[in-house]
Amino acid sequence: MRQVLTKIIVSVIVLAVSIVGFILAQNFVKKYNANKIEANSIEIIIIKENTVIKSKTINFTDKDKLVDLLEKNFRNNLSFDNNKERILSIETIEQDETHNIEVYLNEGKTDKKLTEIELTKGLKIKFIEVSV
Amino acid sequence: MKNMKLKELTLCAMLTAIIFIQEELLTFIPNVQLTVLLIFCYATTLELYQTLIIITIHVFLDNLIMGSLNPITVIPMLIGWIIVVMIAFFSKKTNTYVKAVLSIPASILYTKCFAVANAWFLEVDIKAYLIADIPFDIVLCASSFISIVLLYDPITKFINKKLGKEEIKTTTKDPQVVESSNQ
Repeated sequence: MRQVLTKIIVSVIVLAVSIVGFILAQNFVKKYNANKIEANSIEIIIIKENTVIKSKTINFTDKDKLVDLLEKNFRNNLSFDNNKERILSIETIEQDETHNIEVYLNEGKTDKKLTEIELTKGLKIKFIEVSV
Repeated sequence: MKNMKLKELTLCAMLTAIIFIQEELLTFIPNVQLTVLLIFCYATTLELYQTLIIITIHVFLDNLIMGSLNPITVIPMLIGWIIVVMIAFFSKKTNTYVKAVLSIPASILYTKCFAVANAWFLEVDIKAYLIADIPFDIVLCASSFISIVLLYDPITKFINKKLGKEEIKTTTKDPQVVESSNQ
């Protein structure tokens, strides 16, 4: 009986510590994310058929352009046509007429060309290769 | 590898089903599971190879059902659970509280296998990943610790009974009782 009681007391203490730890950790994560957005950074995610191929947070300066950042950081994942206006394909996918790349800015789908997208703090850009 | 008796084989199949079903049932609460508890129970009552077979089947079934049967998920999950099995196996002779404490680093090592895989294959920002993972690590560690403290003893007692093994407690009978039973 005493053993069971000890186990219950230990479990309750650990549960309480865990709840406090969880809340503190959540706050820490929120602060970390807020600080990250405050810096001049954008998040770029490349998705192929529901699988994230690459995800990266990139810092930028006022002089930087999106296409240059993409070519610099995602050269192995994306390929571009000559005037850098449109992504041709995610390179790991065979390029054919049944696949298309959709661009999302902060979760909203956009038809903007890459050269028209302005870099802003905390911008989240998703490239999703989908079957058509 | 030894040939398993029919009884052991059936028990292993049932234990595999239990570990798989509980994980699927608890998927709606992130990182709350009894898998670490069950691995500790299995590793201390069954042979090591039997536990490893159970874990391997569980990993493949889990990923098959969840639609994540790809090397980026399966390999770290399998490595992670094998680490937990090893920690449990080598803590066989310790008491329940030590096992519960050991389940904390075991759970953390399990989740870190995914962090390494994500950083390596998906080139995810490892620092951001680890920080975002802290609350979920806490939940996993807490559920592992509490479940072991509360349920490890009754479950191992049950498995030992089914396997026909004598428990450690029953071997340390009161000398007077042993004496009278001999008479």
